[in-house]
Amino acid sequence: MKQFFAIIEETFREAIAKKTLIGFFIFSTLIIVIAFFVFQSDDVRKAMAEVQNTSHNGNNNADMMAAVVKATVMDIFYAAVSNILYFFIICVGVFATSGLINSQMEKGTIDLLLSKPVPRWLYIFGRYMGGVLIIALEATWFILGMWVVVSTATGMWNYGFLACAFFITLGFAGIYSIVVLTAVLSRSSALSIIIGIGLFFLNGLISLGHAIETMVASSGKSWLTMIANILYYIFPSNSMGSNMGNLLMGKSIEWVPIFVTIGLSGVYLYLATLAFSKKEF
Amino acid sequence: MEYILTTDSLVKRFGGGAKAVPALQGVSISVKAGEIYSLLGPNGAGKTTFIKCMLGIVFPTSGSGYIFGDPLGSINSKKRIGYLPENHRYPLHLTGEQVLRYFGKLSEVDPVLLEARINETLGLVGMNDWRTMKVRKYSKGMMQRLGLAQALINDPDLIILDEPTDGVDPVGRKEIRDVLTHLKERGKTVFLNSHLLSEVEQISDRVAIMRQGQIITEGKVQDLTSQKNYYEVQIASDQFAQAISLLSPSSTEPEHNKMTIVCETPKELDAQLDLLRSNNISIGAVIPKRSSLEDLFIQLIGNSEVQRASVK
Ligand SMILES: Nc1ncnc2c1ncn2[C@@H]1O[C@H](COP(=O)(O)OP(=O)(O)O)[C@@H](O)[C@H]1O
Ligand SMILES: [Mg+2]
Repeated sequence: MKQFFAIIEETFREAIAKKTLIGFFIFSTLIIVIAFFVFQSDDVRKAMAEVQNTSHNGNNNADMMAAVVKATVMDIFYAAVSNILYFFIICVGVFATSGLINSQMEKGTIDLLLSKPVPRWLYIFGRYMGGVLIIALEATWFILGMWVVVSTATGMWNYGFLACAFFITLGFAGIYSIVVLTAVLSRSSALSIIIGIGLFFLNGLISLGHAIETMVASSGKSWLTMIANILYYIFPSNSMGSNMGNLLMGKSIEWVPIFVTIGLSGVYLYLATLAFSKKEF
Repeated sequence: MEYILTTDSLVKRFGGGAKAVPALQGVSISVKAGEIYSLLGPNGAGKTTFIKCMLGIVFPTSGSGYIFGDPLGSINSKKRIGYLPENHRYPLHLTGEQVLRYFGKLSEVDPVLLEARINETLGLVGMNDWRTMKVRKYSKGMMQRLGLAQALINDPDLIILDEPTDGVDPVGRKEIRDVLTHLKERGKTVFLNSHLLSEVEQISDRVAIMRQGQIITEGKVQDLTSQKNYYEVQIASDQFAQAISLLSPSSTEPEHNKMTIVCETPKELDAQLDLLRSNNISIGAVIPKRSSLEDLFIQLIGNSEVQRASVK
């Protein structure tokens, strides 16, 4: 356990030294500050006040209507923001953390690490968890900041938005397991970025196409459906975006993709540790 | 005496098929507790590969070995090993003492003892003044000292060093040798790789000479170097050329009228001297010379290879 924490600590030190942690932090803080000023601007305040006023004109029906409209608008807004953050954090996160694996396999570094009484898998597992933890912190900071800014402006505290940090982290953990596996196999962090983000977008496009298809056409199974169904069980991090939408709009959460993502992350991470254990340096 | 490290017919081939590189071709070595054991050989002989097999960094193609009774590369054995690799690199963003803290934790050094160990090892290698400097700013010599401190952080019983004096100035080399001798005095076992023979000759108890993945000779430094006896013979200058033609010496120093002859037995020396005397050559002096390991090394692996090795 001490070894595990030492690896996590060193992962953080490396991320800090490479300025990825601080870069991420500055950027997200900047967005939060911009959001703050947008929500404090006169136009937005006026619009907000109008909605607020209509809800206090004494007419019960109108009151209720206004509240519903306002809530729906905010839900859609939150769903959009969370999905944008989801894509942004995963893409930037993969860039920021892919090097964490390769730095361990450099000549002169790996010899030292492997001479220590640490099982090989622990290095990969520790680095993976370190990377996920870094992104979890970033996602939490980003989400929390946006939530406070928007909630204080609107006076509506949607706690579901906070849970989006979990979905973003889980989505990242899924993609990162593939990045780590590629990095171990190829010893190239560039290739691991390309594979990780490439597959992430390809998978996103296919599931989007599939979703549109099911909306438009009611008829039988097309090749798109088939591919989407297969990908669903071999590629992690499916349906995280729609799940965040479900959460924010008060619909029930789909648990299957959550468990599939956790399971697949475990499988790819296991394969990565297996490959690493058999590797010669 | 107890052997703490043994290997049996260790074979390592890199790659397969026609292009396979036979880095180790059946290496059997036994290292006793408390000795300084040196593996010598030119570059590319397979010394680093041998160490990597011991630590499980590469896996032997065939053969086996044990360290402290555990198979090569086992976690258990690594708890008692300290290793200084050939080209070692540390996270550049860490300071010297942070490096030691990190590796100390990985080596499961008792947290209560860790800070004391860090102080002790930094003091031993003379790095106390630079402990809070970032590794990024270290010179090659400082890196080597830090590397040595890192190898000692877990108070290991077996210290494995790959070319420890490489790129270190003469003073630093002397200090590293002193550290190794100090470790031996404390009952530690030292296994080291080198192509710098003069370095290890002074401190090693036993040496093995490796060439093309095979051990070609092994033994105590005294035994190996006393296999042949060298004598320096001084002759008057006007008879020097004649003496050379009679004796065929292994080396000559014409400017001092000296030559070196090799005799396997004292009788052979008598015969050689008789030969000179029967030709009326007067002998100025005969001085026995102990052959150095260098001479043996050159004899065994061939002059050209040594030269190539030292050029690299
Ligand atoms: N990872 C590797 N892949 C292929 N060949 C290797 C590898 N490591 C070492 N070799 C080869 O094995 C031989 C022995 O190398 P090495 O053990 O480094 O020698 P030394 O340490 O004695 O200089 C060399 O021919 C080298 O090129
Ligand atoms: Mg070497």
